Amino acid sequence: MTIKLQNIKKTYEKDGKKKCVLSEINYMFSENTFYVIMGKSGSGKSTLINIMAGILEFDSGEILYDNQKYVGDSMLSKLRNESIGLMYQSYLLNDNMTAIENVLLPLYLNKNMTNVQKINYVKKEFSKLKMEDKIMNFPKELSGGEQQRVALIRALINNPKIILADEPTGNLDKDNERMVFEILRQEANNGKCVVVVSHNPKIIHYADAVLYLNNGELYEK
Amino acid sequence: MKSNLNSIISKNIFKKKTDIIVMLFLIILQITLLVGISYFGSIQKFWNNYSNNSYDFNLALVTAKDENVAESLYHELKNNSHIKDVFYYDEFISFGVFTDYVKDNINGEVELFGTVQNTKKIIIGEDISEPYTMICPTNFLPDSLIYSGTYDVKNIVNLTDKLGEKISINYGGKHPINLKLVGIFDGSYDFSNPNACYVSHETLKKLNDQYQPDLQFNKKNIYILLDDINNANLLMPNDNIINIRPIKTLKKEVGHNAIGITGIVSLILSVLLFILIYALLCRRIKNEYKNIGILSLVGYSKKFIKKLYYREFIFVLLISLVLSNFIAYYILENFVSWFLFNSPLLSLIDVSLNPIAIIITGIVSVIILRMSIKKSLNLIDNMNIMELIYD
Ligand SMILES: Nc1ncnc2c1ncn2[C@@H]1O[C@H](COP(=O)(O)OP(=O)(O)O)[C@@H](O)[C@H]1O
Ligand SMILES: [Mg+2]
Repeated sequence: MTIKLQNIKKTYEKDGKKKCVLSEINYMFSENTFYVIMGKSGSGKSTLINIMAGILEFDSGEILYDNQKYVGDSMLSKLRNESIGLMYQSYLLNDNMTAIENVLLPLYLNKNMTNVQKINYVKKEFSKLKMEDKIMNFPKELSGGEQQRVALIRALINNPKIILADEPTGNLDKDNERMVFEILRQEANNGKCVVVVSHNPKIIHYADAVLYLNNGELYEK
Repeated sequence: MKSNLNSIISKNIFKKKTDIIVMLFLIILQITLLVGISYFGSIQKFWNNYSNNSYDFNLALVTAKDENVAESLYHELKNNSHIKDVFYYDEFISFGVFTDYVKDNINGEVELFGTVQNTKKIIIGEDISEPYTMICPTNFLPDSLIYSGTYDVKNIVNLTDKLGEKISINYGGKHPINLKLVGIFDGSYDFSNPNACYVSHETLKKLNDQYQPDLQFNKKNIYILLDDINNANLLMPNDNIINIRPIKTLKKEVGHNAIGITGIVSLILSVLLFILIYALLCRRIKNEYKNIGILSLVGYSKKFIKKLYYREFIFVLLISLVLSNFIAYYILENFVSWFLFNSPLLSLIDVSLNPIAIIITGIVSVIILRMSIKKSLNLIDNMNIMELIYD
């Protein structure tokens, strides 16, 4: 699935003052590609990635997913559920749910599988990341790396065509970091459109394209 | 392992404590409505029943123009098809002390009314027929002060054992006589003073001739029993009649403040419930903010998330309605013995759960829940997912 940004503009208003974070972003993200977005802190990387995820509203412009427009909470939610996997630095797991329940959340909206099939499928995905012993653990009972692995399994569970990640390795040690990058690389090889925001210079080795966000503009180097 | 969406989500979104608080409030409101409206409905039915059936309220006093026309007027009235009984004062009312029933708190005094057959609904025994026979009400309580506080359903005298026996009475408080109790009539069918027993006009006339020979009464005053008090108008205009006046009028307003009190209490409770649900739900949504945001991230629409909250309260609503109906039914079953036991008038009411009360209670509950939930769920519409991602 491709993402086409056309003249995306975003300003924040704080204490009556307007601040332009993104001005006229135009870019086409393709399938089969691993993109990295870099830029200074406060340059608007998170803003951009959340606009692409349909979570944040923007002032003007258009986003096309496979040349199609998605409007409204219901359509964008469905798009996120079926076609976009999201990862954040802070994992964003529900603390009251076990690891497997967290992963089951997006899968439950899928009506093509029975509950038993869903559970077996999730268990298999856990064992791929050597997490089979931890499925009944609550997030508090997992290390940071393990929590991010749960978040990664959740992001990929519906086999999304787009993966968006905002500093997914910000809190991880080297081993976990490498594992996340390798899996995302693998996903890109499998035809996905992967967009990762990161400061980490090591990610450049995995990426197909490195983009910079500066002064509200996005450009390739 | 729990393995369906609802159980997993409900485990995280539902908060049992707040649900129970809301349910308790809801039950109090629902019981107020159910009991209040049912009681009001029963009172209305009670008064309508009386206006249709009642003996006392269909009695009227006709005053003739002068003594010369009184006798011909008497015969004219006797022949009127709307008039069931015509009599003079000495055939109408007297009193006696039922000596067997004088107790510490009951003075035994009973009013004796003269009447004809078929004016009362006899439920045990038979109607008055022979001289010196008497019928008394099911709610019989011989005391002259029943309306000023001595009445209590517990003191009602059961006369079934005395049926067919002679009862000793001090007629007019002075003259020992006996009257045979032949029947007991339904006091609730047609409102009767608990201390009113009925004999024939002939009996009353004989007793008065014997014991109160100097009783003065004006032949110009003729008492009539109408089939319906409203038909009194049909007797007028009549040159021989000065006026016609009902002996007793129905004070239908007794008990009618029930609906006003129910309305005010329900309104206050409704407002409190609205504020309570709004406050509790807003607090809960704020506490659940992160988890609601996570649901949104993985693809649940806000509409879907809001439905989960509604569905939770549909549960609360259904459970509360079932409980309230049971409790209200129980309260209404015991309403008379708990609240109306010392009213000779209202203790005869048949209070029962009214289907209209159930419908109104359901509608009011749904409206309040819907309004308060909708208002608090605005928080979800206005939530900023970005804030929870990066806080
Ligand atoms: N909700 C907001 N209201 C006002 N300003 C905001 C808001 N969110 C972000 N900003 C500002 O927008 C700019 C870009 O933020 P962000 O996208 O988080 O940058 P980055 O992820 O590149 O660090 C920052 O200057 C930040 O202060
Ligand atoms: Mg950021």
